[in-house]
Amino acid sequence: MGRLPRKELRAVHDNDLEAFLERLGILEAIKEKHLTCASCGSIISLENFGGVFPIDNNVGVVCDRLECMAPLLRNKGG
Amino acid sequence: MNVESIVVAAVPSTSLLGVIIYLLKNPEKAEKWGALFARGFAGLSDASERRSVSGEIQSDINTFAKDVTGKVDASILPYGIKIKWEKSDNVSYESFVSEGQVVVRMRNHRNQARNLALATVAYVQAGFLPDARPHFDQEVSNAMDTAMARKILLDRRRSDALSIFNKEMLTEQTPMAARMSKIMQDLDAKGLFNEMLLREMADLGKRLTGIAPTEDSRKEIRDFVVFCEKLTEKEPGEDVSPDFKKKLLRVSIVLIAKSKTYAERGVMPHLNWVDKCLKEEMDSIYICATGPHIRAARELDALLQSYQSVRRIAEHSEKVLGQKGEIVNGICIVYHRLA
Repeated sequence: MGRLPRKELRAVHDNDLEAFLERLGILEAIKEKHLTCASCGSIISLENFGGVFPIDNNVGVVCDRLECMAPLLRNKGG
Repeated sequence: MNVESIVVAAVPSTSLLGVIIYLLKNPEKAEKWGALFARGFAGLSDASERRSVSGEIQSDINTFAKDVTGKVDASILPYGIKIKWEKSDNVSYESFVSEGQVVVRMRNHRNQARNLALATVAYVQAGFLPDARPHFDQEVSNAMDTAMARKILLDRRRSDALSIFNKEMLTEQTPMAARMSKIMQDLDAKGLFNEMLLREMADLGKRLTGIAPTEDSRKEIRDFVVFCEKLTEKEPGEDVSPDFKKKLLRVSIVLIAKSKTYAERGVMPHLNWVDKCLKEEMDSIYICATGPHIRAARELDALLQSYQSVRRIAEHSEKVLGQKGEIVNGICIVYHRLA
């Protein structure tokens, strides 16, 4: 059997994280702890940042708990 | 050049050719080796670090998917996974918002357990039973995802990633979701999660493609999952042949477990049961046995192979959990009724 067709999971590596967040315009807000997880409401920092998603022409963030990321990932990635 | 030197020269090139053919046939293995090689240079270049992270995850998940696809049904896990790295220089606020894509964070390869747990959750959410999934209610969907994610991590022997998964994904289950998860875990221990439950869901997905889900179909699938509890709670030495006879799913499971019945009457009681199932238009018949009862299952299988009204779909053998909690050989033979 050959290779299965693959679904993409878009990811940013830790090494590129700050530059990526800067391009999205949310690095400062995260550093200053102004953003909260869209799922559990915890304050997002560079340590617990888990992912980012577009919502209503804006950018939403979630923390790195799998439980917070799972609903977001349904039919969006992977 | 003498014969000996020709042979000495030919052996390495033959071996190399063998390795190349093997890697071409098993791209996931090549990916794993590539990731391990890249890890050696991970401290020197960002590209090697990324390759080390993504290659290992892709190899682990895609190897598992290919295995299930080959052994059970291609529509259970029809896709593999590819990690697409976002680079800061080709992203902007506008492009991100307009593309509508989620981007997740992957950590350094030293934190690969978390990376794998995350990728597994993402993979299962998007690529597991995509045709049948719209017909699952939320609790069935969550229980299925949990069971499959655990299965992937266990299969890849990643207890570190499994521990993160258990800690962060199983915190707030409803009593029904916890019950369904337990049913699926017990089914898996008996070798019936892949062979029976997922096979039925894959078939159902194919039949229902393009049909809008209804409350009735969702309820029927939920009832089927709960019905499977009967298979996991069977007492030792008890011959049970439960069946599920509804609109979408018509399944009978012949569990052969009673030595006395076989000694006295051979496989006739089971054959009579199968005849009854066929008269009642059951679509799938699973013949399952463990340990010494496998002989009876084989005898029944041999008789059924002469039937014109059924088609033998698959046979699967593996080590399973026996009735007293011991590890035993198990067998599951699948028949479909011909319309």
